[in-house]
Amino acid sequence: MKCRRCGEVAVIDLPRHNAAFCKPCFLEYFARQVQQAISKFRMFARHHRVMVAVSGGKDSLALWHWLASHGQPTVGLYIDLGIAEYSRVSRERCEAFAQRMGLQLEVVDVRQETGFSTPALAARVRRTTCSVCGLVKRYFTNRTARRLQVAAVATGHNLDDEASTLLGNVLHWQMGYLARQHPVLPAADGLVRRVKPLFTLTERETLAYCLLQGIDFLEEECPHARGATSILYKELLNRLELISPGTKHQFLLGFLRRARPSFSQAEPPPELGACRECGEPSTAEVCAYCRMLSGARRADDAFATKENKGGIT
Amino acid sequence: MQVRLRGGRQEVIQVRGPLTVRQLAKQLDLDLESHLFVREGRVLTPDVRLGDDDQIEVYRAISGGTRR
Repeated sequence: MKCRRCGEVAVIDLPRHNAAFCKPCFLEYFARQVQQAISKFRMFARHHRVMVAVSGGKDSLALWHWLASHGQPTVGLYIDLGIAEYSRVSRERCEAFAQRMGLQLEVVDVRQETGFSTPALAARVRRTTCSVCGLVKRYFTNRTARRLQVAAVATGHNLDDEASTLLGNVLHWQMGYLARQHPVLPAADGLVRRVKPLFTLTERETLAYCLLQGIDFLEEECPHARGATSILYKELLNRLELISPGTKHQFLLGFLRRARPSFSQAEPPPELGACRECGEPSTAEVCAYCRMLSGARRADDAFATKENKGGIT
Repeated sequence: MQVRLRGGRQEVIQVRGPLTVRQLAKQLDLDLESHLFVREGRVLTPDVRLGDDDQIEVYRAISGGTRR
Protein backbone atom coordinates (compact mmCIF):
# COMPACT_ATOMS: atom_id res chain seq x y z
CA MET A 1 0.00 0.00 0.00
CA LYS A 2 1.10 3.55 -0.71
CA CYS A 3 0.77 6.54 1.60
CA ARG A 4 -2.28 8.60 0.57
CA ARG A 5 -0.45 11.87 1.17
CA CYS A 6 3.05 11.36 -0.25
CA GLY A 7 3.02 8.05 -2.17
CA GLU A 8 5.78 6.42 -0.05
CA VAL A 9 5.37 2.85 1.28
CA ALA A 10 2.63 2.90 3.93
CA VAL A 11 3.08 1.41 7.44
CA ILE A 12 -0.57 1.53 8.49
CA ASP A 13 -3.94 1.42 6.77
CA LEU A 14 -6.90 3.30 8.24
CA PRO A 15 -10.04 1.94 6.57
CA ARG A 16 -12.28 4.38 8.51
CA HIS A 17 -10.53 7.25 6.72
CA ASN A 18 -10.14 5.28 3.47
CA ALA A 19 -6.40 5.98 3.83
CA ALA A 20 -2.97 4.50 4.42
CA PHE A 21 0.02 6.46 5.75
CA CYS A 22 3.83 6.20 5.85
CA LYS A 23 5.49 6.88 9.23
CA PRO A 24 5.91 10.69 8.94
CA CYS A 25 2.40 11.18 7.51
CA PHE A 26 0.84 8.91 10.18
CA LEU A 27 2.57 10.93 12.92
CA GLU A 28 1.21 14.10 11.30
CA TYR A 29 -2.30 12.59 11.18
CA PHE A 30 -1.95 11.56 14.87
CA ALA A 31 -0.83 15.08 15.83
CA ARG A 32 -3.72 16.66 13.95
CA GLN A 33 -6.26 14.44 15.74
CA VAL A 34 -4.83 15.32 19.18
CA GLN A 35 -4.50 19.05 18.39
CA GLN A 36 -8.09 19.18 17.08
CA ALA A 37 -9.42 17.41 20.19
CA ILE A 38 -7.54 19.79 22.50
CA SER A 39 -8.56 22.98 20.66
CA LYS A 40 -12.14 22.04 19.64
CA PHE A 41 -13.03 20.97 23.18
CA ARG A 42 -10.89 23.69 24.80
CA MET A 43 -9.14 21.12 26.98
CA PHE A 44 -6.23 23.36 28.06
CA ALA A 45 -4.00 26.15 26.78
CA ARG A 46 -0.42 25.70 25.52
CA HIS A 47 1.10 27.28 28.65
CA HIS A 48 -1.01 25.26 31.14
CA ARG A 49 0.68 22.57 33.21
CA VAL A 50 -1.14 19.28 32.67
CA MET A 51 -0.92 16.19 34.87
CA VAL A 52 -0.89 12.99 32.79
CA ALA A 53 -2.21 9.92 34.61
CA VAL A 54 0.04 7.07 33.47
CA SER A 55 -0.25 3.32 33.91
CA GLY A 56 2.73 2.20 31.82
CA GLY A 57 0.37 1.04 29.06
CA LYS A 58 0.44 2.21 25.44
CA ASP A 59 -2.30 4.86 25.64
CA SER A 60 -1.12 6.87 28.63
CA LEU A 61 2.54 6.75 27.56
CA ALA A 62 1.61 7.72 23.97
CA LEU A 63 -0.30 10.70 25.37
CA TRP A 64 2.50 11.79 27.70
CA HIS A 65 5.08 11.35 24.91
CA TRP A 66 3.01 13.40 22.47
CA LEU A 67 2.26 16.24 24.91
CA ALA A 68 5.87 16.47 26.16
CA SER A 69 7.28 16.31 22.60
CA HIS A 70 4.98 19.15 21.54
CA GLY A 71 6.14 21.48 24.31
CA GLN A 72 3.21 21.10 26.72
CA PRO A 73 4.33 21.53 30.36
CA THR A 74 3.48 18.20 32.01
CA VAL A 75 3.90 16.15 35.15
CA GLY A 76 3.15 12.42 35.25
CA LEU A 77 1.20 10.64 37.96
CA TYR A 78 1.62 6.93 38.58
CA ILE A 79 -0.55 5.26 41.23
CA ASP A 80 1.03 2.05 42.57
CA LEU A 81 -2.00 -0.12 43.34
CA GLY A 82 0.03 -2.92 44.92
CA ILE A 83 -1.14 -5.53 42.41
CA ALA A 84 1.91 -7.81 42.80
CA GLU A 85 4.12 -8.27 39.72
CA TYR A 86 1.82 -6.20 37.48
CA SER A 87 2.28 -3.05 39.59
CA ARG A 88 6.02 -3.62 39.94
CA VAL A 89 6.56 -3.86 36.18
CA SER A 90 4.14 -1.04 35.26
CA ARG A 91 5.81 1.29 37.78
CA GLU A 92 9.23 0.41 36.33
CA ARG A 93 8.01 1.27 32.80
CA CYS A 94 6.68 4.66 33.93
CA GLU A 95 9.82 5.52 35.88
CA ALA A 96 12.07 4.46 32.98
CA PHE A 97 9.97 6.49 30.50
CA ALA A 98 10.07 9.61 32.70
CA GLN A 99 13.81 9.29 33.19
CA ARG A 100 14.52 8.78 29.48
CA MET A 101 12.35 11.78 28.53
CA GLY A 102 13.60 13.94 31.43
CA LEU A 103 10.07 14.40 32.82
CA GLN A 104 8.75 14.75 36.36
CA LEU A 105 6.83 11.73 37.67
CA GLU A 106 4.82 11.74 40.90
CA VAL A 107 4.25 8.30 42.45
CA VAL A 108 1.46 7.58 44.92
CA ASP A 109 1.79 4.20 46.65
CA VAL A 110 -1.63 2.93 47.78
CA ARG A 111 -0.05 0.61 50.37
CA GLN A 112 1.79 3.53 51.97
CA GLU A 113 -1.32 5.72 51.89
CA THR A 114 -3.83 3.18 53.23
CA GLY A 115 -1.85 0.32 54.75
CA PHE A 116 -3.41 -2.07 52.22
CA SER A 117 -2.85 -3.11 48.62
CA THR A 118 -5.86 -2.55 46.33
CA PRO A 119 -6.81 -6.28 46.22
CA ALA A 120 -6.53 -6.40 50.06
CA LEU A 121 -8.79 -3.34 50.36
CA ALA A 122 -11.30 -4.97 47.99
CA ALA A 123 -11.32 -8.22 49.98
CA ARG A 124 -11.96 -6.36 53.26
CA VAL A 125 -14.86 -4.29 51.94
CA ARG A 126 -16.23 -7.17 49.80
CA ARG A 127 -16.08 -5.30 46.50
CA THR A 128 -14.40 -6.17 43.20
CA THR A 129 -10.78 -5.07 42.82
CA CYS A 130 -11.76 -3.05 39.69
CA SER A 131 -14.36 -1.06 41.61
CA VAL A 132 -11.92 -0.27 44.46
CA CYS A 133 -9.17 0.47 41.92
CA GLY A 134 -11.43 3.02 40.16
CA LEU A 135 -12.33 4.71 43.44
CA VAL A 136 -8.73 4.82 44.68
CA LYS A 137 -7.44 6.16 41.33
CA ARG A 138 -10.10 8.91 41.13
CA TYR A 139 -9.35 9.93 44.73
CA PHE A 140 -5.54 10.09 44.52
CA THR A 141 -5.58 11.61 41.04
CA ASN A 142 -7.74 14.52 42.17
CA ARG A 143 -5.88 14.97 45.45
CA THR A 144 -2.49 15.04 43.70
CA ALA A 145 -3.77 17.36 40.95
CA ARG A 146 -5.00 19.83 43.59
CA ARG A 147 -1.72 19.65 45.48
CA LEU A 148 0.30 20.28 42.31
CA GLN A 149 -2.16 22.98 41.17
CA VAL A 150 -2.28 21.71 37.58
CA ALA A 151 -4.79 23.12 35.09
CA ALA A 152 -6.11 19.70 34.08
CA VAL A 153 -5.65 15.96 34.42
CA ALA A 154 -5.21 14.21 31.06
CA THR A 155 -5.94 10.50 30.67
CA GLY A 156 -5.13 8.18 27.75
CA HIS A 157 -8.74 7.18 27.02
CA ASN A 158 -9.04 6.40 23.30
CA LEU A 159 -11.93 5.96 20.86
CA ASP A 160 -12.31 2.26 21.71
CA ASP A 161 -12.42 3.00 25.46
CA GLU A 162 -15.06 5.67 24.98
CA ALA A 163 -17.18 3.76 22.44
CA SER A 164 -17.16 0.56 24.57
CA THR A 165 -18.04 2.55 27.71
CA LEU A 166 -20.90 4.16 25.80
CA LEU A 167 -22.12 0.76 24.61
CA GLY A 168 -22.04 -0.55 28.20
CA ASN A 169 -23.88 2.53 29.50
CA VAL A 170 -26.55 2.23 26.80
CA LEU A 171 -27.03 -1.51 27.35
CA HIS A 172 -27.58 -0.88 31.08
CA TRP A 173 -29.29 2.53 30.63
CA GLN A 174 -26.92 4.20 33.06
CA MET A 175 -28.56 7.63 32.85
CA GLY A 176 -26.09 9.44 35.12
CA TYR A 177 -23.06 8.05 33.29
CA LEU A 178 -24.61 8.88 29.90
CA ALA A 179 -25.21 12.46 31.08
CA ARG A 180 -21.57 12.86 32.09
CA GLN A 181 -19.69 10.91 29.36
CA HIS A 182 -17.64 13.54 27.55
CA PRO A 183 -13.99 14.22 26.52
CA VAL A 184 -13.94 17.06 29.07
CA LEU A 185 -15.21 16.86 32.62
CA PRO A 186 -15.11 20.47 33.83
CA ALA A 187 -13.64 21.55 37.17
CA ALA A 188 -16.20 21.86 39.96
CA ASP A 189 -16.04 22.45 43.72
CA GLY A 190 -12.66 20.85 44.37
CA LEU A 191 -12.76 18.53 41.36
CA VAL A 192 -9.90 19.20 38.94
CA ARG A 193 -10.75 19.39 35.21
CA ARG A 194 -10.31 16.02 33.43
CA VAL A 195 -9.62 15.71 29.70
CA LYS A 196 -9.15 12.92 27.14
CA PRO A 197 -7.04 14.24 24.23
CA LEU A 198 -6.83 10.80 22.48
CA PHE A 199 -10.58 10.19 22.33
CA THR A 200 -10.80 10.29 18.51
CA LEU A 201 -7.89 7.87 17.98
CA THR A 202 -8.37 4.08 18.01
CA GLU A 203 -6.36 1.70 20.17
CA ARG A 204 -4.71 0.39 17.02
CA GLU A 205 -3.56 3.93 16.23
CA THR A 206 -2.13 4.58 19.73
CA LEU A 207 -0.37 1.19 19.52
CA ALA A 208 1.08 2.18 16.13
CA TYR A 209 2.24 5.52 17.61
CA CYS A 210 4.12 3.69 20.39
CA LEU A 211 5.71 1.19 17.99
CA LEU A 212 6.76 3.91 15.55
CA GLN A 213 8.15 6.16 18.31
CA GLY A 214 9.97 3.29 20.09
CA ILE A 215 8.05 3.75 23.35
CA ASP A 216 8.66 0.86 25.75
CA PHE A 217 5.16 0.25 27.10
CA LEU A 218 3.65 -2.50 29.25
CA GLU A 219 1.92 -5.10 27.10
CA GLU A 220 0.60 -7.30 29.90
CA GLU A 221 -2.92 -6.67 31.11
CA CYS A 222 -3.88 -6.24 34.75
CA PRO A 223 -4.64 -9.79 36.03
CA HIS A 224 -7.98 -8.53 37.40
CA ALA A 225 -9.11 -7.38 33.92
CA ARG A 226 -9.13 -10.88 32.38
CA GLY A 227 -12.54 -11.76 30.99
CA ALA A 228 -13.84 -8.23 31.58
CA THR A 229 -17.10 -7.20 29.90
CA SER A 230 -15.52 -4.01 28.55
CA ILE A 231 -13.07 -6.13 26.50
CA LEU A 232 -15.99 -8.11 25.06
CA TYR A 233 -17.66 -4.80 24.06
CA LYS A 234 -14.45 -3.69 22.36
CA GLU A 235 -14.20 -6.96 20.43
CA LEU A 236 -17.84 -6.68 19.33
CA LEU A 237 -17.37 -3.06 18.21
CA ASN A 238 -14.25 -4.07 16.26
CA ARG A 239 -16.26 -6.75 14.44
CA LEU A 240 -18.73 -4.05 13.42
CA GLU A 241 -15.85 -1.74 12.48
CA LEU A 242 -14.38 -4.37 10.12
CA ILE A 243 -17.69 -4.70 8.29
CA SER A 244 -18.51 -0.99 8.40
CA PRO A 245 -15.41 1.20 8.91
CA GLY A 246 -16.12 4.35 10.94
CA THR A 247 -18.79 2.72 13.14
CA LYS A 248 -17.00 3.45 16.46
CA HIS A 249 -16.40 7.10 15.52
CA GLN A 250 -20.01 7.62 14.37
CA PHE A 251 -21.38 5.91 17.48
CA LEU A 252 -19.38 8.09 19.90
CA LEU A 253 -19.38 11.41 18.05
CA GLY A 254 -23.07 11.02 17.15
CA PHE A 255 -23.86 10.46 20.82
CA LEU A 256 -21.85 13.53 21.90
CA ARG A 257 -23.50 15.75 19.27
CA ARG A 258 -27.07 14.51 19.24
CA ALA A 259 -27.97 12.49 22.34
CA ARG A 260 -25.83 13.60 25.26
CA PRO A 261 -27.38 17.09 25.66
CA SER A 262 -30.77 15.46 26.41
CA PHE A 263 -29.25 13.13 29.00
CA SER A 264 -27.40 16.06 30.63
CA GLN A 265 -30.61 18.08 30.91
CA ALA A 266 -32.47 15.16 32.47
CA GLU A 267 -29.63 14.28 34.87
CA PRO A 268 -27.93 17.41 36.26
CA PRO A 269 -24.60 16.80 38.05
CA PRO A 270 -24.91 16.06 41.78
CA GLU A 271 -24.03 18.86 44.22
CA LEU A 272 -20.60 18.56 45.77
CA GLY A 273 -19.43 19.47 49.25
CA ALA A 274 -16.16 18.79 51.07
CA CYS A 275 -15.65 15.45 52.87
CA ARG A 276 -15.78 15.98 56.66
CA GLU A 277 -12.71 13.75 57.13
CA CYS A 278 -10.34 14.50 54.27
CA GLY A 279 -11.70 17.67 52.61
CA GLU A 280 -11.86 16.13 49.13
CA PRO A 281 -15.04 16.76 47.09
CA SER A 282 -17.95 14.49 47.93
CA THR A 283 -21.70 14.16 47.38
CA ALA A 284 -22.05 12.83 50.95
CA GLU A 285 -20.86 14.10 54.34
CA VAL A 286 -18.02 11.55 54.26
CA CYS A 287 -16.57 10.68 50.84
CA ALA A 288 -16.67 7.18 49.32
CA TYR A 289 -12.90 6.77 49.78
CA CYS A 290 -12.94 7.58 53.52
CA ARG A 291 -15.99 5.33 54.02
CA MET A 292 -14.24 2.48 52.22
CA LEU A 293 -11.00 2.94 54.17
CA SER A 294 -12.74 2.98 57.55
CA GLY A 295 -14.70 -0.13 56.46
CA ALA A 296 -11.46 -1.91 55.59
CA ARG A 297 -9.89 -0.93 58.94
CA ARG A 298 -12.97 -2.14 60.84
CA ALA A 299 -12.83 -5.47 58.96
CA ASP A 300 -9.14 -5.77 59.83
CA ASP A 301 -9.77 -4.99 63.53
CA ALA A 302 -12.62 -7.53 63.66
CA PHE A 303 -10.35 -10.16 62.12
CA ALA A 304 -7.55 -9.38 64.62
CA THR A 305 -10.00 -9.55 67.56
CA LYS A 306 -11.29 -12.94 66.37
CA GLU A 307 -7.72 -14.22 66.06
CA ASN A 308 -6.84 -13.01 69.57
CA LYS A 309 -9.93 -14.66 71.04
CA GLY A 310 -9.06 -17.87 69.19
CA GLY A 311 -5.56 -17.70 70.69
CA ILE A 312 -6.84 -17.42 74.31
CA THR A 313 -9.29 -20.33 74.24
CA MET B 1 7.75 -18.32 9.14
CA GLN B 2 7.85 -17.80 12.88
CA VAL B 3 4.97 -15.80 14.33
CA ARG B 4 5.18 -14.53 17.91
CA LEU B 5 1.93 -13.45 19.58
CA ARG B 6 2.91 -10.80 22.11
CA GLY B 7 1.11 -9.67 25.25
CA GLY B 8 -0.87 -12.13 27.34
CA ARG B 9 -0.62 -15.24 25.13
CA GLN B 10 3.13 -15.05 24.34
CA GLU B 11 2.83 -17.99 21.91
CA VAL B 12 5.21 -18.77 19.06
CA ILE B 13 3.62 -20.41 16.01
CA GLN B 14 5.16 -21.76 12.80
CA VAL B 15 3.20 -20.84 9.66
CA ARG B 16 3.96 -21.74 6.06
CA GLY B 17 4.51 -18.93 3.57
CA PRO B 18 4.27 -17.22 1.26
CA LEU B 19 1.15 -15.32 2.25
CA THR B 20 0.01 -11.78 2.91
CA VAL B 21 -0.51 -10.19 6.32
CA ARG B 22 -4.28 -10.28 5.65
CA GLN B 23 -4.10 -14.05 4.89
CA LEU B 24 -1.95 -14.68 7.97
CA ALA B 25 -4.45 -12.79 10.18
CA LYS B 26 -7.30 -14.87 8.75
CA GLN B 27 -5.38 -18.12 9.28
CA LEU B 28 -4.70 -17.20 12.93
CA ASP B 29 -8.28 -15.92 13.42
CA LEU B 30 -7.01 -12.45 14.41
CA ASP B 31 -8.97 -9.40 13.24
CA LEU B 32 -7.03 -6.55 11.67
CA GLU B 33 -8.80 -3.85 13.70
CA SER B 34 -7.48 -5.34 16.97
CA HIS B 35 -3.92 -6.28 15.93
CA LEU B 36 -0.76 -4.91 14.33
CA PHE B 37 1.82 -7.06 12.54
CA VAL B 38 5.51 -6.16 12.71
CA ARG B 39 8.54 -7.49 10.77
CA GLU B 40 12.07 -6.41 11.74
CA GLY B 41 10.65 -3.49 13.71
CA ARG B 42 8.53 -2.27 10.80
CA VAL B 43 4.73 -2.09 11.08
CA LEU B 44 3.07 -3.84 8.12
CA THR B 45 -0.06 -3.11 6.08
CA PRO B 46 -2.42 -6.02 5.24
CA ASP B 47 -1.17 -6.37 1.62
CA VAL B 48 2.50 -7.02 2.53
CA ARG B 49 3.75 -10.46 1.39
CA LEU B 50 5.49 -12.61 3.97
CA GLY B 51 7.98 -15.38 3.24
CA ASP B 52 9.02 -18.58 5.01
CA ASP B 53 12.11 -16.99 6.55
CA ASP B 54 10.27 -14.03 8.09
CA GLN B 55 9.92 -13.49 11.82
CA ILE B 56 6.64 -11.77 12.59
CA GLU B 57 5.47 -10.21 15.85
CA VAL B 58 1.77 -9.69 16.46
CA TYR B 59 0.69 -6.96 18.89
CA ARG B 60 -2.82 -6.95 20.36
CA ALA B 61 -4.33 -3.45 20.47
CA ILE B 62 -7.22 -4.14 22.86
CA SER B 63 -6.44 -3.31 26.48
CA GLY B 64 -7.79 -1.78 29.66
CA GLY B 65 -10.57 -4.08 30.79
CA THR B 66 -12.64 -3.36 33.90
CA ARG B 67 -14.92 -5.83 35.66
CA ARG B 68 -18.25 -4.33 36.62
